[in-house]
Amino acid sequence: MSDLDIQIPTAYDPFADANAENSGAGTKEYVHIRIQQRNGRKSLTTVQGLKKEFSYNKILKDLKKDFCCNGTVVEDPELGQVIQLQGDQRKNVSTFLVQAGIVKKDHIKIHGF
Amino acid sequence: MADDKQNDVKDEVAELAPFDPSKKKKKKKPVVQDGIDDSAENLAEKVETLSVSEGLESTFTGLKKKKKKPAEVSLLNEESVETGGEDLDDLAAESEEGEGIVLQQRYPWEGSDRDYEYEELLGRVFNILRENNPELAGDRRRTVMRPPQVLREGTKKTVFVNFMDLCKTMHRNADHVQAFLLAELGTSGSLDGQQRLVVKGRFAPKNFEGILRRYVSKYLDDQIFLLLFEFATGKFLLLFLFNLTSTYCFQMNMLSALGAKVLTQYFRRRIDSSFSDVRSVALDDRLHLSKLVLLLVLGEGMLELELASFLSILYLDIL
Repeated sequence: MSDLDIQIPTAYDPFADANAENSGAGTKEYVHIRIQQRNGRKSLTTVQGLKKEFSYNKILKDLKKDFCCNGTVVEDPELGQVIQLQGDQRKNVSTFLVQAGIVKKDHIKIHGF
Repeated sequence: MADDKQNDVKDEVAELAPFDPSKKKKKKKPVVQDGIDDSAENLAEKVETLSVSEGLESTFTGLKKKKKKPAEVSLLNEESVETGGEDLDDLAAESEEGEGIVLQQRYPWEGSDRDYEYEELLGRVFNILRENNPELAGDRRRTVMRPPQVLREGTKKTVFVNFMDLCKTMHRNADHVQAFLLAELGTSGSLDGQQRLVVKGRFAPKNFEGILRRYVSKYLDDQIFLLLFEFATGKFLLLFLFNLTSTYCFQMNMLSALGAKVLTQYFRRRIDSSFSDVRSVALDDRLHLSKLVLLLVLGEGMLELELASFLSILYLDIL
């Protein structure tokens, strides 16, 4: 019981070491894949959250070729660069990203119906 | 599967109710193995249906992370926070009364020097708890929500009729659910005069169901993460980290911002350092970020003074 002296909290940040250790493995940057509806059965798939190091144009080109759809990269002021694809490509995009090794499967979040 | 599990648990509870050490020895191994299998498969599963289970008791069944009804849990936890924080005598006493015989069991880890696995410790703790307090190892009741009813309004709009009912069943603010729903659907919508949600676009009930299921698993499931510390004296310190996001506890404090993983690592390190005779620390590595509001510490056989001072250290650091 001697090592149970009540410690007076000083400027000691109890989470400093935890955060430092965690920042590498713990914090997750998710890739969000969303869908929006357009006229009739048409929809729009949005991919957001990919790391900035990637060349979005190349990824877009591959996606367009793979899924035979059109797409574009849009600059969003707060969300960064967003990939838009025509049609409901959510599953396609997630398998593509995982297979290409761009993102790990548990970093992908699929939203929408 | 849940029903099987329930029956399983009932059987176990019934069998273990008369505290007979000789009986327990035989049952120990199958129970532990059962527990391990159970927890392994159950940890892999997510919410299958729109079901919300209830009660603090449900944490002790099935040896796995439990999903609980927010309302119940928050009430219970308010009590237990008081007991945990202020009056630890109850907890310590309650857990001490069943100490009794030190089991010379054949544990899976015996015979080698390896550290305990999470499921093993989990099984052991829950068995001890079940023997001592069988009423805590209660049944897991599942409340099934009604399926969403959806109508077309015009050609471009969909009306979600059961919206308010579902919100009430989940004990959630309508605003929060609405915001989530609209964000997931990617459309706009609003509540009309009859408290129905009108959403722009054509959606099927199946779509709504999927989104609601996601909502439940993300926000409703009071996920409980367990930190197990076993001391060299054979006693346990079990740390429950609750994820309470019910409407009652909706005002998150700074704990939530930190995330479960950080906090559990922190506790692990603190306990490791402050208690020299910690023999093993087991942590469920399958944590994902969740919002923590309350802490409940269950000490089995620890001296009250130790527990009290430990908690005070924790609270001083965090709060």
